[in-house]
Amino acid sequence: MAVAERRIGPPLTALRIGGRALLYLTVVIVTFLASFPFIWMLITAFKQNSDLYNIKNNPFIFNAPPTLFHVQLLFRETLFSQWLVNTALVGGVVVIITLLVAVPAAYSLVRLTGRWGQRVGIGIFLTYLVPPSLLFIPLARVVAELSLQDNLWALVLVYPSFTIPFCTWLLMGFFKTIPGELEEAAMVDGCTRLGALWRIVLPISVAGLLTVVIFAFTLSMQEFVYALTFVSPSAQKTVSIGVPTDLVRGDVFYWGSLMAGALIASVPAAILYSLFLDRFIAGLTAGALK
Amino acid sequence: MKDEEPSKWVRVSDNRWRRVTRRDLLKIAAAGAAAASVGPFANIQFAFAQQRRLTILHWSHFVPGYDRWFDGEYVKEWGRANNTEVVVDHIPFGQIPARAAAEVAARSGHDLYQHISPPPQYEPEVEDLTDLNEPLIKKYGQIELAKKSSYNPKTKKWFGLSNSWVPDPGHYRKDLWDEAGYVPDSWDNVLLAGRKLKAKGVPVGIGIANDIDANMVMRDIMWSFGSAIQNASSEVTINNKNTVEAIKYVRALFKEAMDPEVLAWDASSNNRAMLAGKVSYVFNAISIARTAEKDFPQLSPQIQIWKPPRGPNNLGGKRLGAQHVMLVYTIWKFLPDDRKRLAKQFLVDFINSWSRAFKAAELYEFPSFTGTVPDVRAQVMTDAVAARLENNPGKYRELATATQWSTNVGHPGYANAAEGEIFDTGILPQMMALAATDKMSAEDAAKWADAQIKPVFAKWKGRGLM
Amino acid sequence: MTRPRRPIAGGAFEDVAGEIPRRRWGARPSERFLGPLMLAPAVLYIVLLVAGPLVFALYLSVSNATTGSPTLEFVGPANFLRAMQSPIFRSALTNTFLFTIVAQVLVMILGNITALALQQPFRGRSLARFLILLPWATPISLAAIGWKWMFDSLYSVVNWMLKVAHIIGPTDFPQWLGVPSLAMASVITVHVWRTFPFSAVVILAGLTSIPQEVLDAAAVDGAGYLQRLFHILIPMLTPILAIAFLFGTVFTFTDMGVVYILTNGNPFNTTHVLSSWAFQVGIIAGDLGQGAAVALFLLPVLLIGAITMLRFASRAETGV
Repeated sequence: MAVAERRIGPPLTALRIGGRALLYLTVVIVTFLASFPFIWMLITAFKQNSDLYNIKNNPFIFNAPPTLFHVQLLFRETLFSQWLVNTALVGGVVVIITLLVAVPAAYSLVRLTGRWGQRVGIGIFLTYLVPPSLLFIPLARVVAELSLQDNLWALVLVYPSFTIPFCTWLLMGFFKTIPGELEEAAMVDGCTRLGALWRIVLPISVAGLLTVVIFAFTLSMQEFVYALTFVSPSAQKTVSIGVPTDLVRGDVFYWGSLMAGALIASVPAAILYSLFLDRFIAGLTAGALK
Repeated sequence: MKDEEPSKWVRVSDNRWRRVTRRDLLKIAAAGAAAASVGPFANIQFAFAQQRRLTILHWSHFVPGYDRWFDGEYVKEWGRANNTEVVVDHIPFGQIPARAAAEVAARSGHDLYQHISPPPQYEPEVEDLTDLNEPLIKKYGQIELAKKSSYNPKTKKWFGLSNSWVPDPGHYRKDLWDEAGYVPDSWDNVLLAGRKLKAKGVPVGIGIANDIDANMVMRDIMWSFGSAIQNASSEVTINNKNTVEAIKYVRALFKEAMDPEVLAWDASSNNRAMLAGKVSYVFNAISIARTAEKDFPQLSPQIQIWKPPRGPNNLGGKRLGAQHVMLVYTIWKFLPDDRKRLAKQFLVDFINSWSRAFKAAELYEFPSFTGTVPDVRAQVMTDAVAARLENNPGKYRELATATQWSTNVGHPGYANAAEGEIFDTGILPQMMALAATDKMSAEDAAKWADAQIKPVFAKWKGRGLM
Repeated sequence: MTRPRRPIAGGAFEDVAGEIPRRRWGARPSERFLGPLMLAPAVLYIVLLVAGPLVFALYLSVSNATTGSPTLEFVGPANFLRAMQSPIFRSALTNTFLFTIVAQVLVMILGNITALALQQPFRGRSLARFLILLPWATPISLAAIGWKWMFDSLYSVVNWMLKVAHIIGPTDFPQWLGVPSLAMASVITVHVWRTFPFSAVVILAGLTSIPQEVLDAAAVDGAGYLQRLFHILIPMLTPILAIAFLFGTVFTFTDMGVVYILTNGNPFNTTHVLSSWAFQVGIIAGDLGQGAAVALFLLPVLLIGAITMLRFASRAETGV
């Protein structure tokens, strides 16, 4: 259990039972608040339309037998599986690009650039604050000039523009907590600076790197303004824009399939995050406090 | 000549074409493989590899069958006949402006761009399609609302070509209205019946929000009371006593015959409400009736279609309803010339074959060029699905006269860029809502709308487009 | 490793009260170019894909650009002035602040409670963690569509649950998206729902770094649970709370998706925020210059807010 158990104090028996009950109650409430939409989505994805569109019915149970129709529609009539692949691909490559660019940048700002490095670091973080709804018009031009219009790779090109600022700043905080002696020692022994980075700093920073991976992947999976603007062929879409396009036709929403799509897109990501949570927390602890 | 064998025209060089049959092709391929140079046939392999390409952007059609027909059948046929690979991309209809803006900014995009509302704001960036529209008008005739949605009288430019449009009739619950003793033929009736029906728990369902349905009906009501945003010369005419009457009517309708939820509605809300049996009168394209036929067959016979209601002071003397969707194609100016030519050719061929599209769209779309579907009335009156389900093949009969009671956004003027912006920022529904929820008096609401609208008109006039 | 530490003779480390001793590990003369070189790709990316387009957006905001026209004429501050005169803009400005602050306050409360709970061991904790992380893992466009249905004027699951819990009566059916106050509450709800898992994780990270001895010592001295919570834990957590607040604020302040999909500004343009209104005016309605002007109002505020937060965070952590 890598997440340490911190108690707010030595437990007293009576308080402990009451405290325990309160704990469980809190957990149940919070978990319910977070997840009831998904439980409802899960049920809706398998509900027949006549059941779904009946006001009097209980939305959380199957009043008519469940059906696979919506899921089949999702996979057969739309390119959902392709979109999942696209989303994973874009996310993965963006993560790699982010790591390749942000790690050296953060390291340089922390170790090699002195006082002005801190200021540049904040400046870099602040560029994250510029919203896509402002930038997408000029970026459309850039994308077209590079002949990437209507191509998935346009997203791979553009997404790092917001993952890099964020992750650089995050990594900066993390690298600051690593005492420089380790690299100094390695360099005294004949290592180059880059070698020290690779062999000493990075292995210690796995938690921080994992943080970056999760953030970058989340940010690129969630993004929707650029995905909408730069990609229109169905086969090149990501889940975030493909699902609303094909399953909202004019004024008709295909709710069952929409909900199925939402679930299938989120559950794997959530599983991944929760597996990494311990490492992730360790990364944030060190990185964010600076 | 080898007339009995199927053959195609193949481009041998820039301006030489040769008729080639499949047997020839095999010979050529073999020859090409065997010898490096085979004279005039040397370019044929290249010609096939450099097949032409045409890209089209469409919305996701309400009728999935239409997309299947268009993408799966029609463009493939046309592509084969014209040695072109046709690619059709789809985006959600709400994103059409965003994508258009991006393509303009990028100076690169689809060869044929489909809009679902008049696109006058793109005039500087699109081809003048006079050479397409005028011959087609001569051949088939065109309805006025299509011209007003694709032509700019000031610059005398046809900025688009409209292949079709979608009427916006009323849908009402015949069983409930019969009980109440009315038909929704006038706005007075709507209010009178609405009061009774609201008391029964099935109020009127007309949205007062920033969405396409609400925008259309608010305009219907304005025209019915004798007022409009602009006149035929593009001058702002909204602040007058007829507008105030219209606002008062909407306020009465909201308070006495509707539920407050209509302030939150989007384009799909009235569909759901009608199909759930919660409202008794809505305006929509026939998507509601069609969905009822598919998914709610018991309810379907109760849902009937009626023309938009008369008002006390109809503009121009007749009842008017806005079109629900106006399908207009534009071609970007910045595309290379050969692609523009190809796109134009596609459009012409498409209009000439439009009777097939009419069938595929299941009465949802109506022709802008009237002659393309000469037997519209006959087809409307013999709807197979309605005949089967409720023994009423003429269920959609009101649509047969749709051209008489439908008009464009911007009536009595043209659908110009200012009208477009007013529409997209929801000024009219907001004006109605402010009065309906008693945040402003009707007079003040009209003044408020006037204050919002005048600068927009001034701005677009300043750009020389109006 | 939560505090900056300095090595002293004998191989031990001591705490540094103030500055981060960067200069000790600065670049050697031979590495003068290495620093900027390693920084270059990031700077290049940002200049080309953020700064450049931002400058262009600035230029758009002082021009009369439209989506349909390539010619731009300089119009000075006209777009900004016209934007400020629009009542919808003013309400969008207010809403942007209102939604963000209210949402983040709720997120802080909910996030803290969640983090404190998740810190304790209990059966089913892994499952609880997974479920709590789900809102953050979902693409916002899909989550917002789901919530739209849950707040639907007819089929609202939320209303159904409230009725079952007897919080509202059998004839009540609050129009979550139809009444301005409720619509604002709905937008805030979706923001809170989406952001609190992330804040909970950040706070949980902070909690794990609090030395247990301090808490135990306080308990031995007789401090009750709430006293320990408010007088020790939360003050020590302040830097991390500030960070979580900052992150959450940034996500919410610039977000366009939730408003756009959930309400699209309805009822009658009362729930627009700056980014969604900028999109509506600039792109949907075609007035690109004005859309850019509206969106640019976000920047100064964000800058001030972010710098303040960062200063606050670093000052708090060093105990000044």
